[in-house]
Amino acid sequence: MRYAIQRFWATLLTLAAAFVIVFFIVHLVPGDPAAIMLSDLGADRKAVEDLRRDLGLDQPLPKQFLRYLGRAAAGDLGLSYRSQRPVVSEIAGIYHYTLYLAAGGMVFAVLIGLPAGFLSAAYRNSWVDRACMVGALSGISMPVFWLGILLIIVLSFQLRLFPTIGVGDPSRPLDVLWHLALPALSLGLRGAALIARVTRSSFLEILGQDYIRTGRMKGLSEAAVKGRHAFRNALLPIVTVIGLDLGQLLGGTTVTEIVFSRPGMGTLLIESVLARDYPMVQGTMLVYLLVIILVNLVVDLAYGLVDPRIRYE
Amino acid sequence: MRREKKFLALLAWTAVGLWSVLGALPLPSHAAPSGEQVIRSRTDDDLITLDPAHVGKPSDHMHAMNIYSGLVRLKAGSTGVEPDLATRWEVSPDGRAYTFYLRRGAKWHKGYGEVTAKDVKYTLDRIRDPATKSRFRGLLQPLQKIEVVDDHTIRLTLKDPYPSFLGAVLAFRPGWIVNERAIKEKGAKYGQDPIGSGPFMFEKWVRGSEVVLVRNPNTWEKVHIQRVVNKVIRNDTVAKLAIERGDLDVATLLEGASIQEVKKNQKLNILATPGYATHFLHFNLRKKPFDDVRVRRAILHATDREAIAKHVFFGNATPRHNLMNPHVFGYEELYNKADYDPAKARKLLAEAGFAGGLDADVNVMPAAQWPQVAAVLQEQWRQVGIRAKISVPERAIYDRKWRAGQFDILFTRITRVDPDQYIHQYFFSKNQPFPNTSGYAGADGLLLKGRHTVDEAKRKELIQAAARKIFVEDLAGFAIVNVNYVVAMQPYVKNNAPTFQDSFPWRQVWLEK
Repeated sequence: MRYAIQRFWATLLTLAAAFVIVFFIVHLVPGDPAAIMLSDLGADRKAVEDLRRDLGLDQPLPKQFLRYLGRAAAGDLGLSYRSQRPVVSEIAGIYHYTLYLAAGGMVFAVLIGLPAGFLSAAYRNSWVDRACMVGALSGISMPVFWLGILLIIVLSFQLRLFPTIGVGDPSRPLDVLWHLALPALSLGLRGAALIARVTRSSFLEILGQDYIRTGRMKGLSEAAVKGRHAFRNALLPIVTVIGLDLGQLLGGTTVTEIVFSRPGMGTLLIESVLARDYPMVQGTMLVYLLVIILVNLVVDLAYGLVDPRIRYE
Repeated sequence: MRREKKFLALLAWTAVGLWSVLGALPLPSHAAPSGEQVIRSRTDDDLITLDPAHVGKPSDHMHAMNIYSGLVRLKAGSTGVEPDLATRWEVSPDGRAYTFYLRRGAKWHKGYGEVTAKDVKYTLDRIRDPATKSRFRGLLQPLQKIEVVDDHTIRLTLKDPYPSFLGAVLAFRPGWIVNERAIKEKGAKYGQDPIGSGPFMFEKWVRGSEVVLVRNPNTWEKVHIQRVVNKVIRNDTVAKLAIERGDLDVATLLEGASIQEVKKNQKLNILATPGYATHFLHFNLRKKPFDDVRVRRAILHATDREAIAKHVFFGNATPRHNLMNPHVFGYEELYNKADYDPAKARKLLAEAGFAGGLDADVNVMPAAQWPQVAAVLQEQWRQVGIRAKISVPERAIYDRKWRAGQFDILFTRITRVDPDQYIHQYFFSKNQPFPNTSGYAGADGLLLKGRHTVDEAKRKELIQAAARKIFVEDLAGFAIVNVNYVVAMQPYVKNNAPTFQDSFPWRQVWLEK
């Protein structure tokens, strides 16, 4: 319990630091939002300065920060420069698409990665093992955007099994899932490859342990040895990898969303960065950071559950 | 061993089970071809806002231009203006006051009442209000006074005679008339639930999938299309596949590779017209030796624009010399194929004292295939001894160097509707140091006179004279190519003509299925 409380405070501190860094780093990036907004109008210097003043960008940075902090404390992350709509409502309208995508990607990663890893280890050096590991290598090597296009061409256009674009009709859960399948698969394959490799090596290591031999000597069935004893013990590094991979997975959502024309945090972040839409960039980055920090907290706490031998007292 | 087989079999069955669940899901429903006038088009980005004060991207412009009407509008496929909400207008003898007579009985969408002169005043006042934070506030600087004469008459008085105000401002986003009650009622939601008075009404936006418009039952025009479904497809390859598969009726294609492929498809009509975007370069006359017209001319003679249009743009571009394009009022063809003459270039360089060649620092816009064009130009110029140092920085750095005039030659691009915007902004000396970073001041008299001349014929003459002075006589800069705008369409789509900002005026289109 004390451990959990400690982790909680550390998490809060990390969040506060992230908040400050996000604000200032966005302003460190060269580029003037007002000039970018006016770039296709051929505006003169006066028009740019007027717009800067209208947007409040002429104020000193510390003053802007304090104002941002004060508003953020009240749950107001400002107005998007581009749409003049509240950042909070823009994010509230789309965050779940990214959540679904990341969750779907994780489900594919685990559903494919875990069995493949166990199979490779159980049938070490057989053709199953080799096939799985070659698959894992290609999974790690293939860029998400390329894989995405490939899946669209084969599964959507050639075989016509899946839709190419959109997120489906929100009132029909099956339709949403069906639209989610391809993006989630292309996003999850890299994680699946990673999980398969870690699972294999972790499992192999456990299989060489003394207590496994003891179990077999006791006359336990092979399924009981592998399934119950080895599985539990091999799980720890796998949980770690899954936790770490979530950051990668969230990063991958940006590219996946663009390729599959899905709305979401990733698309929003990229578009906002290009437009130097500071409030929007800050808002999206904060949400991403929040998710990653929270997931790390959960993973840390999960260690104790997965392996009771680990206690941080 | 047998147990292992069981384990394997279990896994295999799980996989089969999963697959059959996925496979059992419903197949995509294709809209059956019928006489229904429903058009499916592509947009390359999701909706951001349809509030005219904030519309910033062509992807939003293409919906909004069909939803709103202005006092005047651009003619399809040209940059001339024609009546829209105003059926006619009068210009005062001094060219400063415009009196617009509004169409009687023009209705707002969805029961918001009649469009009156008060709405026009509200619209322009709203853009001018700093609290609106509109990017178009600067465009309304020439406007001095707005007077509502009566419900159907409004008078706009400008600080100086400025005929471009119609095409460049009133027919553009800040001139799209909005309804005060709708703006106030809907608040922050307005941009995603707009009210206009144009031929189409906003029906719905399905985030990430589509933006749907329906025909306005009260439109004063004869409109055939009943519904417009704009599907969000960001990726060009996917858009190409979608129109080939018949999931789209119209698709604008942006990338050379997909354009090349779609052109091979016999089943589709390909519309390729010169777009509004022109790639051009200008010299920094404050930097030596680019103040010497012989050096500038040598660079022109070293430039093979045909080769660039053919090889970089796969023929989807037209060589240009004038910054303007044929859609623009006052355009004159200044391109001369014989300008490409490396021997002449070498001779001019020798005359200017650079027989051994010279170095040029080039700031390249990191977009729109400029990097590839720059690489070809570098090689072409090298043939005559001009060593171009090409830098393709990140956009913000490029902008900063451009503003500060930190370059010998600038490679950039322009998209406008009005001659004044094309040449005045970049070559009028009062616009120094920005956006006229060329340091050029040689055509001021002609530019100023052209800007304030109301008589069309005289204005045209002055614009052409200014263009000849800048791009031929003084050669402060010159264009490279005018990129074609390529649209793939199903053969049953009739009378479509893309306009400024890659937008389609759906009011004039119909389907023959």
